[in-house]
Amino acid sequence: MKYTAIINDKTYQVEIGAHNTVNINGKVYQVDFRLVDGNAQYSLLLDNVSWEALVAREGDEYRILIGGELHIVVVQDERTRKMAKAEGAQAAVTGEALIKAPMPGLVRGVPVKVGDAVAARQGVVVLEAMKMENELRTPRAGMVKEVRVKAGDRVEQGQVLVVIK
Amino acid sequence: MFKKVLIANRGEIAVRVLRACRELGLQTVAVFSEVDRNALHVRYADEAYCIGPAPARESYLRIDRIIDVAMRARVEAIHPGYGFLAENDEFARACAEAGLIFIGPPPQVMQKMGDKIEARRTVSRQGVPVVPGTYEPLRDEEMLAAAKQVGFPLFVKAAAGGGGKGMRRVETIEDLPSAIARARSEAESAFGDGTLYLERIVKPARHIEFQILADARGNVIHLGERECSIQRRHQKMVEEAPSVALDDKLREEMGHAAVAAARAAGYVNAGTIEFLLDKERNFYFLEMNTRLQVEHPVTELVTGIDIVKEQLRIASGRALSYRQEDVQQRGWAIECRITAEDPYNGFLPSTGKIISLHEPTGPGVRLESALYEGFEVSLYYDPLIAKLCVWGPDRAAAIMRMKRALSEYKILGIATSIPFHQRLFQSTSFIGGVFDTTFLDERFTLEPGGSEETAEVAAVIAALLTHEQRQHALTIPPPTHSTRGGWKRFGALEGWR
Repeated sequence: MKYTAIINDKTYQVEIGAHNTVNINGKVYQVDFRLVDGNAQYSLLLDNVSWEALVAREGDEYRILIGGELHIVVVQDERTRKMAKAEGAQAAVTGEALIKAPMPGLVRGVPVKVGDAVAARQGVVVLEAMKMENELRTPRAGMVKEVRVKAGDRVEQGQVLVVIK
Repeated sequence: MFKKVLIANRGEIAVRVLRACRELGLQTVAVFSEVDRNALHVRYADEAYCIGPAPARESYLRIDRIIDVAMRARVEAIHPGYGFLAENDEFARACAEAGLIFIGPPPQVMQKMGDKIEARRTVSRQGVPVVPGTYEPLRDEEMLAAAKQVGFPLFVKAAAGGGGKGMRRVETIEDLPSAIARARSEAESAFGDGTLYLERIVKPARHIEFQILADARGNVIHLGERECSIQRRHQKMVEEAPSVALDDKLREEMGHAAVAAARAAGYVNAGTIEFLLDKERNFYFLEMNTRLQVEHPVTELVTGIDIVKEQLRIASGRALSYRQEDVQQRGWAIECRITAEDPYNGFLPSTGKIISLHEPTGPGVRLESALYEGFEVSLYYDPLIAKLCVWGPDRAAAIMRMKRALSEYKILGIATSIPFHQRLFQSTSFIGGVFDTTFLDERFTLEPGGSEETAEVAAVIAALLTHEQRQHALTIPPPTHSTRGGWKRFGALEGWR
């Protein structure tokens, strides 16, 4: 079975063969791959070279930690590669920037209101989490379209707080 | 010596103090919040008492409840650890009023040095150099005027502050009013006191601190320095002892100043004098921490002195066990602060249950931890979950040992700072000892990626897991997607064979 692994725009052709072999970019290795711990810790012997990896999956991405280095890998086979191409063509830019809570916390203040013009990197929400006040900034210039929270609100991670148009 | 001690803290530091008490043959009492019932400090102590719900202000910060437990359990002394009530003079007073020994400095000394403005005045009177800035509590408009004298860039800092809270860096006078407002509000919510002062930014500088021991009979010694310049947004991430920046002459000079500062304060017990050291090797007093320090193990590893046991002895009225000339630094020690934060996701706090844990051991490794499999890391408390410390005969050996220990350390269920530490220990600047307090924020970035070799391995692993999943797609339900930020279980994938 042939797969294409993509890491940061670089592709790796990986063919999984019979008798515990794997062919990567034309080189063939003996492979012994085991889950060793807690459903995320793996041990890999690649031609007897020993590797440990911590693996998490988020959607289509594998986030693989090896010795502190994080590799974000997307794997495609023939079919998914075609689908990805088609989706990419449809994707449209909405033109809105959503300021989301990066962590659960308490809103300490919203120094902007609907209709305000904001500059790139301007602070739009002050969020307190883990005893620190964090200023959340807009990634780009624009106008405040919506303010969905007020000082004193408790918010969850990922919750949209302010929308910039 | 007293016989029974209450530890008014949780996590790895509560365990650390419990161990010292145990080794001195003292009885121990733990206190815990409702979510900490299963915590190690509860299980390691001789007795344990619940003092309230999870939020610290309803449990670990409740002076009344802690004193009440101390009376019920008939303890003679209370160790506050660090954080929570450790620098709260009101708590130290409440202990004294209840006839309990507070294991720390006298409350009036704590109050004096805890007020950073007062501390600056106290030590500068003894001729100890202090970072240029203001020496009086000022109103906003007075600060604007004083700022011009101090010069930009400068720090706005909370007089009651610490740990980077209530602190703002200001580049120009235009930014000062909003920085003052933000710092005041943060200081008021964190410390209940919005008093601020200004301090010129000494840059580039190293953060060098000296460990102090002082008994009630007037003996004051220092245990040498700790290098704490590896900071992310003013939070220390790695500490070492000694520092590459000091030679014997400078060490003696700074040690002398540290002892003078502690004497000026009338200090008793273990404390830390923090200095900034600039490129021209001028040093300036920054502040005094009137408590045990998170990074105390590196000093213990190079001096062989158990600082917590010394604290207990001093609090019981005994003289110091060591004279200054007895204190020798031997070899090199490094500490990594392991936090429940995701370094590849902006160091966002990560919470969840520890599903698997493998801790490093072997020669020269010391781990201060409160983790166990099943432990729930919550947002209620500080993200510091463990401290990994190593000792080696020299700095190079200590660095190699730390790399080895980090590679053995596996915590599953939450994201941790371990990958950050692994990458830091690959940095040539760090290995070369060439860094100051701006290093992490300005010259060190952590991005996904790495060597071509590990990328290839990652590609193989991802392909193997995809293949495995395809093979089982008809028999096994699809994997549940983990939420961002944790190395969580991701479904029914099994090892590929």
